[in-house]
Amino acid sequence: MGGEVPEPRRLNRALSFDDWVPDEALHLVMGHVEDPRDREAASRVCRRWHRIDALTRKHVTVAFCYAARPARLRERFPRLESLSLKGKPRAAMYGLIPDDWGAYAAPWIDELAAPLECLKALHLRRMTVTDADIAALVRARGHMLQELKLDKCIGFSTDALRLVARSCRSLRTLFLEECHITDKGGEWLHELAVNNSVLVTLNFYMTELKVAPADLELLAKNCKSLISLKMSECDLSDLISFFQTANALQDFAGGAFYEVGELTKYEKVKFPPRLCFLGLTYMGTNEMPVIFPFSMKLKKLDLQYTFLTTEDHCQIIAKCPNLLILEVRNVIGDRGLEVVGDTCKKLRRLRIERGDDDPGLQEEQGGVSQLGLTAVAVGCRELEYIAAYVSDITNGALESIGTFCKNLYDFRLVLLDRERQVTDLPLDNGVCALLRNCTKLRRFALYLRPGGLSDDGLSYIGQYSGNIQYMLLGNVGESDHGLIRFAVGCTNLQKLELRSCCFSERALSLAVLQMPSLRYIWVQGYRASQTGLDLLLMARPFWNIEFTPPSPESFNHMTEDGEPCVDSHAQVLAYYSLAGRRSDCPQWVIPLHPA
Amino acid sequence: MASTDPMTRRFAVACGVLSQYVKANSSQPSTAAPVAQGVSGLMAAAAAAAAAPVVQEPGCEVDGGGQQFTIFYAGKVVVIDRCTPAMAAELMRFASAAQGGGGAPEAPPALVDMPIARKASLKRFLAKRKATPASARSSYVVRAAAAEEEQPPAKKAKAAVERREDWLALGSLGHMHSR
Repeated sequence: MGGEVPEPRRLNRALSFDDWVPDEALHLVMGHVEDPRDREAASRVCRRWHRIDALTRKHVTVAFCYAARPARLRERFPRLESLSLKGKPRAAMYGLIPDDWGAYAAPWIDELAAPLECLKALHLRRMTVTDADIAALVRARGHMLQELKLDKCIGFSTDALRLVARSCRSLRTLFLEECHITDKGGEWLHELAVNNSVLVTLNFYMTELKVAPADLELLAKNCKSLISLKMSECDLSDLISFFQTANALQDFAGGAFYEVGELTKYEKVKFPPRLCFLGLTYMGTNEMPVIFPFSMKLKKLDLQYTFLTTEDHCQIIAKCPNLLILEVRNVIGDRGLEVVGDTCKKLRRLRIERGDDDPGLQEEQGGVSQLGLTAVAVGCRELEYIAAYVSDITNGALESIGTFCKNLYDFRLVLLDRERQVTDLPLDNGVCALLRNCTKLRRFALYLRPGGLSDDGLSYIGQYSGNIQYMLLGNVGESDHGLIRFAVGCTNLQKLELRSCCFSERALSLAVLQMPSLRYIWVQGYRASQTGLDLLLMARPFWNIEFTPPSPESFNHMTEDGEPCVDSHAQVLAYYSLAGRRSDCPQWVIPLHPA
Repeated sequence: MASTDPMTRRFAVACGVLSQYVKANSSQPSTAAPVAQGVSGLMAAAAAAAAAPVVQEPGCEVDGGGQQFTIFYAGKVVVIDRCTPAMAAELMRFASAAQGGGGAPEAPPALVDMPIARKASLKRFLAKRKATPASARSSYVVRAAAAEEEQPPAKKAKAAVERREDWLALGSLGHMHSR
């Protein structure tokens, strides 16, 4: 009895990872993995991980609405809480894509709104959304919806907003910035004010909606949590009561100064005590002083839609040493940017938009050049995002950005075509230095002019593209060879936009095949082949190719504004899709595929 | 001379036929399709090169037995709706007749530079800004400053009323509010 040998331990069972880690623990671990790429990698480990990833995934972004089928998304991620969808090509923001191009929200809302029982946040960008779509969404998810973001969408009216206001009482974020909304009355805001008490963010900035100041005041009374309001135009003197009531407000943009020069009218405007994000419409020299009492507290300043001179910019910015975000037009000039460099040591994001091509008497000539950009690079070393329209630029300025702005993750430069003479072209060496030094860069845009970047420069961009996932390139390179050399280096590039380039269809096709991570390419302005079919050289499984022929003047498509699309050059859009070919192409979009 | 070239003449006839079909197609506004710049453009291209036309028929069908007919030629695309098989056959006959042992195609013309597009929201702002008369704003500012200097404080209220009336008279305010 006592002499028996113990039975050998079951080593196989002990070493089995699958049995050792229970599902519950894996659920918990997965729940803490938030990076989409890490999630994607985890889901490929084995079937079990794939299933658990699917059950624990809370947010998905569909980068292009034609890349996947709604039903497939529903089947794979049944417990989604948040969904982002992107529609039309980015060029739609510039009027280059007709409104009837597609990107309809209906199939997604019809398929997903009811079955996704956990869904509480929906974000649609550059999509066509109808009143009926919003009604379907409200019917299915109205009681649960906390965030509704319609970003640069078209197709709906204030009737839909009334429905949202009446039915979505848990809504914390309503975002409608730059949407084209048919205004059928301001009742929607009144309904929102009456029915909602938890709103935190309301944004209908850059819409044409008319609202009643009394409704805003009521909203402020009922929603003590309101932190951000970005609105359409409304005389600022009518908002005095709103500002008195909205005590928690931190972020305000919109309003308007309609009576320029009426100092006494706007003297009474007192902003809420915590306000630190600000953008005011039509603010001029005489209205600037309304900002001075709290300029030290400002973290974000949006001056894109103001009537300020260069000198005005210098005065305001000199009083704002704590800015993190600054958005201006190029009227700021190099002098203004020198003030930015001297004053705004904490600046993270800088956007310099293109202003009038014919500056009036209040604007200085020349705009922004290497002088201003260099001053900003030297002075604001925490910058993460720079987007600038410039009139002149040098390799040295780009090198300075590379040397001093090592945290850059997004850099966009457009060289305006107004100036005849540019100091220092091509920009090959400057671009090379910037890319080599800014190793955190994820997005890169460079829009120059013929001769602005040679084939060597294009090759550098590919070679040093590092982790860049998105690029926009305009007027770059000299030949097909340059494009191929560029493509060979782009191992991580997922999305590419090309405009006004000299490349042939054959080179475009070969370049596409060279870039292993590329999922999406949009091209306008290229050398068309004799047959037009060299684009088919890029044909491959799951790859859709859509061609939009050039349109003569008489056949221009009308946008909803009633203006013809400004551009009639051919466009090519090609992308990976699990959904197969589009079934809703307008007549003038031609899918290309091998016979 | 080009006029004596039999291939060119045959192609001119083909272009004429194509032009007729395009016009017939355009006469139905509900089915208007994007159309190439013009037959003359095609002829100019033909003079430079004898390119092989490629014809592609998408599988879609339209009532009346016609189908959409797409022609790629010399970098241009022509889309014709309600193209009957007879029309298609005739067009293809003309196209193959025009095909021949022509010379090597010339280098394509340099690409026309495209204007840099402006963001829609800024475009709207700048348009509104132009609607505000800058001269009025400037002169008004000057007048306001002068008025403030010249008038004693006792008349400030009246001056304010006058300034408001002046502004209204300029019409800008009414224009702004009417937006």
